[in-house]
Amino acid sequence: MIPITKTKTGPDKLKKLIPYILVLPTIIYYCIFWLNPVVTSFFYSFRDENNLSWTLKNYIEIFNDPFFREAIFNTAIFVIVSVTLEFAIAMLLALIINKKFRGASVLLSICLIPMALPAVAVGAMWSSGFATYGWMNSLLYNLGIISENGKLLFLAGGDLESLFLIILIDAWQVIPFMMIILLAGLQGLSKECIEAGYVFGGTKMTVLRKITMPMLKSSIQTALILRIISAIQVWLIIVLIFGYRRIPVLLEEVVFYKEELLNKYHVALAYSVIVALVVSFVSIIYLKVSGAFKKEEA
Amino acid sequence: MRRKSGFNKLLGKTLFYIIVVGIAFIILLPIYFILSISFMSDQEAYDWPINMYPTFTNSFKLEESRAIESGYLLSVYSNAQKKYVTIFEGEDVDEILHYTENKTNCSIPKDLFLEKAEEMRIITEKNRVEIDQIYLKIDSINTDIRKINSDITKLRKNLKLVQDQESMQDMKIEFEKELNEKELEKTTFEKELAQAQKDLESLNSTNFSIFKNIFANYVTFFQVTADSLGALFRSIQVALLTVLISLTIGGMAGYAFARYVFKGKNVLKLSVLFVRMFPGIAIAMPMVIILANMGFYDKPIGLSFVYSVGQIGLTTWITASVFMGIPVELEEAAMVFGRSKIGAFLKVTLPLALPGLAASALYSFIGSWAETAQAIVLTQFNPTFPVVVYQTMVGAKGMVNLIAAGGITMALPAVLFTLIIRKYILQMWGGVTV
Repeated sequence: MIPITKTKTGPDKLKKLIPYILVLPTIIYYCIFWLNPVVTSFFYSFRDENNLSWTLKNYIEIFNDPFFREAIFNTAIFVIVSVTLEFAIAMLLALIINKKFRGASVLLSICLIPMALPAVAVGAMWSSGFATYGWMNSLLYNLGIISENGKLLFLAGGDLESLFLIILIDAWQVIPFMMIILLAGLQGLSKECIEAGYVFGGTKMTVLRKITMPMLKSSIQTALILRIISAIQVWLIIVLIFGYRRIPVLLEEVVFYKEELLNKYHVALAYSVIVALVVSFVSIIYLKVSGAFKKEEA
Repeated sequence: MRRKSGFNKLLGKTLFYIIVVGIAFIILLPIYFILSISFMSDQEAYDWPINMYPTFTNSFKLEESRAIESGYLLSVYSNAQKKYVTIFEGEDVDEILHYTENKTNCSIPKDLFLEKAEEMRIITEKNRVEIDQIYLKIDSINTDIRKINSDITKLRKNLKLVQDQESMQDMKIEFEKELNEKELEKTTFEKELAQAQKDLESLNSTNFSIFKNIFANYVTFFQVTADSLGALFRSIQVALLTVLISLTIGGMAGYAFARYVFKGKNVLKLSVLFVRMFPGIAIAMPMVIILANMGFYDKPIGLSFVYSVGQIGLTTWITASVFMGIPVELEEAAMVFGRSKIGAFLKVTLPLALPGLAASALYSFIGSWAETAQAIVLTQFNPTFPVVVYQTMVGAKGMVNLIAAGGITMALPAVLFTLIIRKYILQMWGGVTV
């Protein structure tokens, strides 16, 4: 549209205000229900349990808790392994599936289901599956893979094995969804560039490495960082399958301090401040990498 | 240019479909099993190996109790073990029927039971001599098996002792040979026992089958977990309130983002994204105090206030793209024809946006319906439905089939709604760049 120079009149000024009126409720809402709790939790994390004096005790207690180190370690392992594993498999599957075929829409619908399942349903599914007398062992037995006495003790493994079990469960839920995001990215690529790559003598591998992947960069970044953010926050599925404090992770500890211990509410708040800082840090990296800061108002 | 031969092409295509079907299979398999278990009775769910599908009828076998004078021994056919397994032995008919219903989800009519019991008594009286003979045989076989079992255990122990010792290799071989013999002997006895029991079956028992109440677990779940109906009602209430709040507030912001250029738009967009990514638990924790001060703690409205924080961002995101898809010219045309700005919005844009808005509403409905983590922190005496299922899972290990029923009840609306709005979800993730 060609800008028309106008003198500012009353209704025009009002017109300029409309968008602000429209976003005002969101701003107010965020102030009351987001900013307010964030400030509150920051404030109380530095107050002692009886709210009488300022203290660093809450944070010191966390840093001295042996479970804290374990939680950091487990969360880190979970994020690194699960994100790498899920991304690699999802990318591979997306590249394979990236063509028109009959039943594509059915497959996409099926891929949406695991993400749509509530956490408790996923928990019920796998805790009944991995029980010694559960359906997983029954299935393996019926297929003739294990013998009657060879039941696999899924839930009785060591700490690291149990963590990998959780990673597998998480992968089942996340890979299909990640595949959809990457598939959408792949389908949005211009066909001409890829064809040009082949015309100029590129093999499948070089075209993938030199053309497809760089063009897919923004989809990959989005998928990866959103995934990292949600991977840091894993906890409920662990508690549903193993209970509290079997495999400590950051958020599980937050809820543990609040729900299972008495008079540790402020410690739990301090804990949640730590987790929020970590997640915010990754979020800001994401916003920076995705170029959201640079984007001019369009 | 390379050319693929017809065979290679076919191979490639087959491989491709194997992968596609494989993905679908891996996704659906656990879902199938949880669904299947939710229809199983206690007897089926705790059988080994678990049946691959739920049964719809149960076959029962009624015989005379040997332990209790004028008592009954009721067994049910186990698909997993391919034989009848005992459910209850006793003389009080009502007690038997009650216990059987709990165990197998079959309610046997009392008349039928008494009729079958009469039949059984007549047959048993007629074959008394033969039955007693077979029982004698069974008892003697059982004694033999017990003896062999203890021998086997002893041999195994000895074998373990000599296992790692070089000098005792001869003994080891001897033990192993003996063990094999014993185990062979045991299987022969077991076969004999099975035969004897089979012979007995036609002589001393009557059979009947009853339709299973396959939805029994769903009913039982609501009966045994405290306040689960109330929790279900509260969950729906919370979800509806969340939809209302997030659609009004987020929809307005979405419209502003789609239609207007204004200062601070980018900052606002960024904050919406940032808030959306902020950990929900970190908001729920301090909300305990804030909601308590407001008087909304442990109430559906308080929970929906917290849920809306995340949902508003999502709704803004979706509604903005919905409004962007509707040409602004339509609105302008309506205004040329004398409508006011608001009238044009209500009469032109809103009807066109309705399907998209409905999808957005469903999306936030699912979001708050399924939300468990914040609800665990923010409820105490008035839990939502997912919290009830969570408490049953964490609190009471066992009851696999009941938990499965609870989980399915949770999952059904979420999956259904997701599939209804799948077009919008795919679209939304198709343009995932910020």
